[in-house]
Amino acid sequence: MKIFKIVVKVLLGLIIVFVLFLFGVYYFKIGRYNVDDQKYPYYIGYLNPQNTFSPEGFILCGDKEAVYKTHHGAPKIAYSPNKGIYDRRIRSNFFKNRFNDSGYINFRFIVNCKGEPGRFETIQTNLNLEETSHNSDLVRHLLELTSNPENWNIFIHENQPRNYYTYISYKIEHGEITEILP
Amino acid sequence: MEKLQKYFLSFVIASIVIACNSNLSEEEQQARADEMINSGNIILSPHFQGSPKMMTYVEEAIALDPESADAWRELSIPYLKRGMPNKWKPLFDKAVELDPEEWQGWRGYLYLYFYRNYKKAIEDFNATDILTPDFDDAPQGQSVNYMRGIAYLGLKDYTKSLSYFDAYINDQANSSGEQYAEVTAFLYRGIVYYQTNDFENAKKDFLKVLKYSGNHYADAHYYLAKCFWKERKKNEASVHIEKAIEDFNLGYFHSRGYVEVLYQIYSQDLEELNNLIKNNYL
Repeated sequence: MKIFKIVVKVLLGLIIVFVLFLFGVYYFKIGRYNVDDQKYPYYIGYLNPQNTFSPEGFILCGDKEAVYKTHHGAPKIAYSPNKGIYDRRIRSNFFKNRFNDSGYINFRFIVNCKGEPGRFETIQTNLNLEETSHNSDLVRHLLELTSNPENWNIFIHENQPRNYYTYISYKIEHGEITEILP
Repeated sequence: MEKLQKYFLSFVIASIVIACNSNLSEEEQQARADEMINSGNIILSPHFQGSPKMMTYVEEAIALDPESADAWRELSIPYLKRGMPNKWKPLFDKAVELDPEEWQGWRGYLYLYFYRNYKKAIEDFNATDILTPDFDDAPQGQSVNYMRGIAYLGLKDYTKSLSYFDAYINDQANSSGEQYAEVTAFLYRGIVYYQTNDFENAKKDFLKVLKYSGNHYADAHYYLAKCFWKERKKNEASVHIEKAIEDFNLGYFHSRGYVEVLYQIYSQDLEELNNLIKNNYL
């Protein structure tokens, strides 16, 4: 019985030392670094519901509203059925000979677990990637084409449909779509 | 109350960091900033990239050494990957301004692959000729001549595209052997030949792609099928389109992380060509 107690105490001691060691490693590697909450309240790319556009009724799924693919979007899995078909669909429905803008029009957004896109943010630049404003009808037209839910796949992770982040960039030259990126 | 504790802790840590660093000489601060950015810190790993902690960490390195091009570049990358060019560009431009020899070719690489901005990419690639004369730079491990070939292909300037792919492949052949060249250099040069209706040279290059990739490469089989079909050789075209579909389904096709490649192929491209061949449509 006495030996049993000693073994339990030693094991507990070892566990405590191990846990302290893990905490120490975490603190040394990650925890000790500062966070500037004022300048960086969210991760880069976060889409705030307060200043983005969502279709009526759009909500993120899950209690925590977790968003996947925030590292670089979901270019390999997002397009339904694939990017090549998406590209053809957009180009065939795009109003030709109606605009004369050149530059990039980018939409960053989230596709929820039902495959509905929302929280759209628009970034408009010239061909030098400097911020500018393009013809508002052109931007609205591209947003309408992009936000069609038929374009977007549902992302399944661990047998559950999830919210995911993605972005798309239209390169426009003299009013024509020359590239759909990434 | 919890927030107050957080702010207090941040204040204490920041004070310690400033107190420790304020005693450093300028050289020591530069060395410290360099170590923060280039020593493989876990904070800069993909898991933390773009997090408030990572961004703050890089800002602290810049505070120590505002001339650290590597730190400015590091700060820019999350914006690049997340589709925010307006925020990416000024930060990366700063890195180029501080160390053009290191980062101008890189910016060209990013203009090429992320933005398909061929003219801007070529401007940056050409600048590397002046910065490092008589040397073919290789940002992210890719030859500038090879990338100029792709950029001119994007511009449909087939003559210049061909000359840069030739320069790259010949350089590789003379230095270490053409088998060490990017296999996609042969693929793209073959596409240049195909676009200019030089099917004989195109086929030679597509066969080289297969030679250097264990005979499995959907793009090469696809373009071989296209060449043979243009030459009205149905049997050869059928063999290659079937192999293209097989390799595509096995995942042997040209692709990149983060972005698509120029002349990306899709399953429907292969199916459509297969139907044309089967139904004798030219």
